[in-house]
Amino acid sequence: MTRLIRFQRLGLLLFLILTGTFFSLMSPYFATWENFTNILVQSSVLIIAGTGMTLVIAVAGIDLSIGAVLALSGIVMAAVMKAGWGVCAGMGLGVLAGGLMGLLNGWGNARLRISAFIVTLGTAGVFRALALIFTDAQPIYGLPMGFRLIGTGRLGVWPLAALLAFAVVGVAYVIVAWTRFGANVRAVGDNPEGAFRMGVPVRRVLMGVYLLSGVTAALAGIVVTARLNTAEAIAGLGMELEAIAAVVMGGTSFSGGEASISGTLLGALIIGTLGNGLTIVNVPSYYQQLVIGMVFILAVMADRMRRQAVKAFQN
Amino acid sequence: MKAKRVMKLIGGLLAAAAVSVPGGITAAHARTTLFEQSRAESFALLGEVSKPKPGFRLGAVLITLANPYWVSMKNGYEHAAEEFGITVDVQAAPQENSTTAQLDILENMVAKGYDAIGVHTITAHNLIPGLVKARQKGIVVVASKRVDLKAAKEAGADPIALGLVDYYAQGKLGAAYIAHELARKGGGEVAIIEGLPGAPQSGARRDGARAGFAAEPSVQIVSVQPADWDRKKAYDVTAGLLQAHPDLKGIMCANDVMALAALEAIDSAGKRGQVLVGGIDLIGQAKEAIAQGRLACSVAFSPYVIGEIVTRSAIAAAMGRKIPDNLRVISVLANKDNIGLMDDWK
Repeated sequence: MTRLIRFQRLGLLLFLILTGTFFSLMSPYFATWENFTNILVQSSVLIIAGTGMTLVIAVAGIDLSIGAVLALSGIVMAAVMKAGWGVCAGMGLGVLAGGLMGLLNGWGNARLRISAFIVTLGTAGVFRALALIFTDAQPIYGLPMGFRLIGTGRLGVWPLAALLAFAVVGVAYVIVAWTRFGANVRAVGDNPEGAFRMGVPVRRVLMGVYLLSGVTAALAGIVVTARLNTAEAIAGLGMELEAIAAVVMGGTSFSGGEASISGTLLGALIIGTLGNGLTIVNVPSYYQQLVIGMVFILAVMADRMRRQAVKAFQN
Repeated sequence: MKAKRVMKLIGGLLAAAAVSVPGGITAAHARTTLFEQSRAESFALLGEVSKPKPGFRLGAVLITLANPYWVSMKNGYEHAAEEFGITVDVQAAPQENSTTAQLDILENMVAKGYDAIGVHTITAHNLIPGLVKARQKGIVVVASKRVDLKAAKEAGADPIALGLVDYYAQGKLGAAYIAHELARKGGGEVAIIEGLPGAPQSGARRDGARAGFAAEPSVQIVSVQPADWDRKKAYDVTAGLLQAHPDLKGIMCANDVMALAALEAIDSAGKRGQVLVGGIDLIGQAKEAIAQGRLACSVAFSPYVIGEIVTRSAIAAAMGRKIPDNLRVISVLANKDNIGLMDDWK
């Protein structure tokens, strides 16, 4: 099983390198450190949000509310900072708010037994509406310098936003690979009935997964809010679909039971690199979406062919 | 490409020659279309611009190309670039609310390096980090005044900010026309449909429309609703308005896409012709609707001319010239009486 996933990631890495090489040949402006950090910062939001989404999809769930969670938790942290409580309190309460929103999703899914699609579609509307109501659709801007640094600052040559993304990926990797919770996530996604019989606390695992998805959405909200120096109710519109695309491209199957954090990282980087490179070589925006959409479908098709081949071989 | 332009020119001349003289336009102006007039007046505010050094590269970041308005502006940029012998790259975000994606695009273009970049920001703040990077690289930036200049200065950016469009005046012009038409029939209830709440041009057009209606005592504003610049939302909002206010006589919309959707909703409610609808932007479909007598009016400034003005001022600024503060494009109101003079509008 692990070897299977590794193979998938190798293909993605190869594709990422090929894409990078192609753009480097097409334009002298692509392969510069400045532009490389652009790609990292621009992908960081997708990497962070996609990491949480990976866990959700691993339990055969879905979280359509992360864009709204991103917006509302961003607004919470901005409002707290504007009230003069400081940067740490702002980020802490923002992430807490994201976690609570995630927990609400988990509660609806695990306790009330509403399908993940329905419950998160509903809360997406609720959170987005709360964000609009709370701000009266006005952006909150003019945030403290220390906070803005997360979006625009650097540690040495590395952008802070990218470092945050790498940290999230690292933590998630450890959780998935080496903790009981990680094993339980895969078990629940593979066969919830069987996992329950084996003594896996299915409900608690589900709650935990949606909680983490809310937390990563809020962390992504930190990057977006800090970068734009603005918290607004329309932030993160469509974020959930991009995150799902990154996860699925990374080889985590929609049917659950597997979680490839590094695959999601590569998927997000491929989407980010395509967006960046296509702008640099001046491809019109219509065609950019066309290319990204086609690459996505091709990646999923390649993944399915690989799975079928492996299955045929095993039989 | 060239043949197409010649055909366009011939078409334009024929249209100009065939135009009859409707009310409000004097015979002396009859052969100059409103587009040419608005263009010439707008250019006069800046004055002559000379050709830049060879190899001058201009970038442009628009809001989206999923709307004919921005496509027209792109054409304006490209036409001006050809006229001045420079190259231009025009990029845009996938949607009108993709604030982060638009910043990504600006930063990518700054990494690529240009002599000047024209910037049309989605919100007052979303592009500021990119403007800072452009400043650090010494790229001349011409931006719409929608940018929060105070925040930009604090962050270390210093774009040349142009008013370009007086959105408030546009909303007021359209609403005042609807109010004037309604007043002749005894006035009545009116509503305003605004765009995306929080977007400055949406707010300015809404406030302008409020002022335009308020100036006429016989009309009363019964509702102000957002429809996010979205066709479907505007349709639903209008259907709701007609339910809640059966006597509604007029709707001023913050753009044409929403106004056209409002007309559809009015038709399907069986109230065709009973509600005057005004839009802004004068997109092609709105032009047809005005000619058919369905849409009461649309307020037009030419996005094509904006593309040209920004190109001209970017060139002038890169050569060290000061750009006048009042540089803007002149807006006009198109209605059934003067729509014939708008055949070449773009």
